[in-house]
Amino acid sequence: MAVGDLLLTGLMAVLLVGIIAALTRIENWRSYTPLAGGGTATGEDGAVLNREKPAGIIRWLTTVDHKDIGLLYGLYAIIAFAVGGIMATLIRVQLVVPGGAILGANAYNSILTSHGITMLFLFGTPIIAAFANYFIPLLIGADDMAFPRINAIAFWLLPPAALLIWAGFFLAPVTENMIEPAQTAWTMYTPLSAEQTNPGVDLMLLGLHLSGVAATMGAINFIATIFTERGDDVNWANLDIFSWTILTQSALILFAFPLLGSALVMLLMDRNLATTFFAVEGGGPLLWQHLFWFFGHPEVYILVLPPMGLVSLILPKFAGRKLFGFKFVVYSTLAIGVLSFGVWAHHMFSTGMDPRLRASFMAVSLAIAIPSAVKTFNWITTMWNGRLRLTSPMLFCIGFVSNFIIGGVTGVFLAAIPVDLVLHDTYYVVGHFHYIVMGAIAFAVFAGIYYWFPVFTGRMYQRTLGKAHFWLSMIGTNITFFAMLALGYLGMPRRYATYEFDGAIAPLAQVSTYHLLATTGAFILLVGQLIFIWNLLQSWLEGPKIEDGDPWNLERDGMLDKEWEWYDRKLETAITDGGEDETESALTDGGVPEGDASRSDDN
Amino acid sequence: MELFGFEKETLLDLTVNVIPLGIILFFIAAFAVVSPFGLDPVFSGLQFSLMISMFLLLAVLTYYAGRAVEDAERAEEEHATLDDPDGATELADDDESTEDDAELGSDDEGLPEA
Amino acid sequence: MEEQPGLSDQYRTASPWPVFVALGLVLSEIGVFIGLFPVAVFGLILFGGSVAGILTESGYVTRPWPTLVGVGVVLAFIAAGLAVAYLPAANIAVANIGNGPVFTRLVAVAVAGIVMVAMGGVGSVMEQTSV
Repeated sequence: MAVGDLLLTGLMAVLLVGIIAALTRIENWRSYTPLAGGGTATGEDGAVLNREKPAGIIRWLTTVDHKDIGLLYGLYAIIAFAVGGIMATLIRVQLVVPGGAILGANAYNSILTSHGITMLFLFGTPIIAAFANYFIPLLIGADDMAFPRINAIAFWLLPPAALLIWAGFFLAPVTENMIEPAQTAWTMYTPLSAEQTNPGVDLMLLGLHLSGVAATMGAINFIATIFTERGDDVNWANLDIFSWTILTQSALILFAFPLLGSALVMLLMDRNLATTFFAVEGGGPLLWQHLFWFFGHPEVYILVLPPMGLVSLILPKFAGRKLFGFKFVVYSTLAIGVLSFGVWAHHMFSTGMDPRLRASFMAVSLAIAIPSAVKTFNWITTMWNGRLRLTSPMLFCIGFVSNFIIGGVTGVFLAAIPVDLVLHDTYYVVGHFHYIVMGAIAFAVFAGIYYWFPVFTGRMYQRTLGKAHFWLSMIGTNITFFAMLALGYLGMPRRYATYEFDGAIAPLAQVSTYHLLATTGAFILLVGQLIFIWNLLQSWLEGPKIEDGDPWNLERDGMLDKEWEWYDRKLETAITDGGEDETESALTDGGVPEGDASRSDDN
Repeated sequence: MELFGFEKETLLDLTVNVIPLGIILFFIAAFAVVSPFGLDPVFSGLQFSLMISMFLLLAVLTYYAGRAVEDAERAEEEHATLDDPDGATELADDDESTEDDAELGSDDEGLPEA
Repeated sequence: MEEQPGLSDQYRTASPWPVFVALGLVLSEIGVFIGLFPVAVFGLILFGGSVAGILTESGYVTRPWPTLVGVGVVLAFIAAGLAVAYLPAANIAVANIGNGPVFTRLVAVAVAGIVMVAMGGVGSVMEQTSV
């Protein structure tokens, strides 16, 4: 032990010296004074600023520019998505045969736990932050985020958080399984999570705590930005829908994530310092469930509201009509935000709570279905009689609406106590939330990536691959998760590594068939995502360069938002090298006929 | 028609949140009239306070959001009518007016296709 | 748009500090919660130092040293306060370092605080004598 301590001390000392050395070297370039001449006053002009950033990897490590941080968030989230996706594939391979195909029970539990946490905390939340960081300042006409440095701190907390959450997988082989990956499931229910002695659980809890700190810092930043940094012509009446959803989401984060952080610290103290917050003789195991779901249900809306905003923003662009009932969407978003804090115990209907309490949670849960349903009708009505252009982003938006309806309707059933008592802890629940998380949230994310691909890469993606990605994802999602709904009706319980059970519990033959179907769908999904990654990488490097600030030809419908105007300005300044801002509107107007001509290749 | 100081247009927009409010209100009334599990000071208290607090919070937030949006719209209109001769604001106005233009625009769109 | 009052004319798009603030927070959490004494001490020092650095760089304070001393004092007081409030007085002894999960962690926090106070003090004095 003493040797270990000595080693650690040495390591830390070396680290500290290294950091000080790095800082003093960075001081050299740090002392530049941009805009010192006062000649170019365009603070938001990317072309000018790029030259003032340090080069190479140092640029990415030190950046506080919202666009760079947005890209970092995006890269991070895509990597997490890949890791989570590989874990999902392993889960599905395991369940091909009732006895389990490849994994032992412990390995299965570890991967199941990490899959959930990775997808929700390391992919879902960061990918939304990626869009928000890059586009909120552009959409509301701000120079940057309100607190650029806090923005950078929030991002840099995430990579260590991911390493901690996955730490068990790296450390298990080194420490001879003394530190294993956590096997608590993503909900970390006590007493299981308090009693597993595995230090990997502590590391995962710390990682989650850090990701919560990061999300909270980001949320404060977005709220401050949207309230105080709006351009002169942006007010509450014409604030775009994506900013509205991010504002609501940030408010939810602000109230939900600190609570998760506190609950995690309490759990860590129960585990390490012999406190009794969640012990039977103390607060009781059920306290954890209340605290967790008081965070956990708003978390669902934290993840789904911004994607709804993305769809509300993108879908009208390719329907040729403004969003139907824009204000309905705004107010219903706010309604979801408030009501999401009054529904948490619908995750706990089967815990033996007082029936009167259950009834009131059911009432609020049924009420919260309305604002979501309203949005669905708005999207459908927007498309009604529209001039639809089935581009990849539009396909993903339509896929979102379709999957969201299935995911939402199954959720309404689960909100009703009698149905929930039957379907609780079965694959029906898994199918329901995967329709939302994969079928809706991920689809909206894909729509956003394709829609804005020209803005952040300056190039166009490969359209055929984009469509292949859509169809494989759509078919894969519906095969996999519809099979799960059916499995739930058959009574297949969730989280099991094997399912060699007695025929009295569930008809084994049908269960195996549906599991096989779900796995088939998962492989279709996997192929689709491989195509997506390939498309993303190859098009970024070699795709055709965008020369017009309006690649989607939105000008014709009068729907060219501020971020495209910004992009056009950036293109202009890049071409004319320092062109004045004042000339841009004339040039944009002049560019319309060209855009019209190339309209047919838009999809 | 003015209710809570809102114009008719805004009131129509706000109806979207009246529906969940109505559902919660319905359940409050229903649970007050029919209580199959009996009344208990702690649990019935919690039951009603959960629903009533959600109702109030949603009502208050909806009110203030409606207020903020309507005030912004009014300021925008005043701005537009005051500086009408100025060409620059006219341009800006085109981008900003949302609802009315959307309906007009969609009608225009429909014609060539039909 | 960019001519906002209050925005420094030295508006930068790069800063070395955020990475280190984040790293400092991560190391302090790991150190304190897992109970790794050296990691806790160095993590907290890195965190306090980076906070002082980032505040100085963004112009909220003119010199980093008072911040460093301040963070150190706060940490030392929190650790001392918790020790006095929650531990029996007999347990608070040098010989007990390494025994008992809570006490060792509090000592780590206190040591980090004291080191920061010392660093801040030395830095401040050196700066004044050299100029």
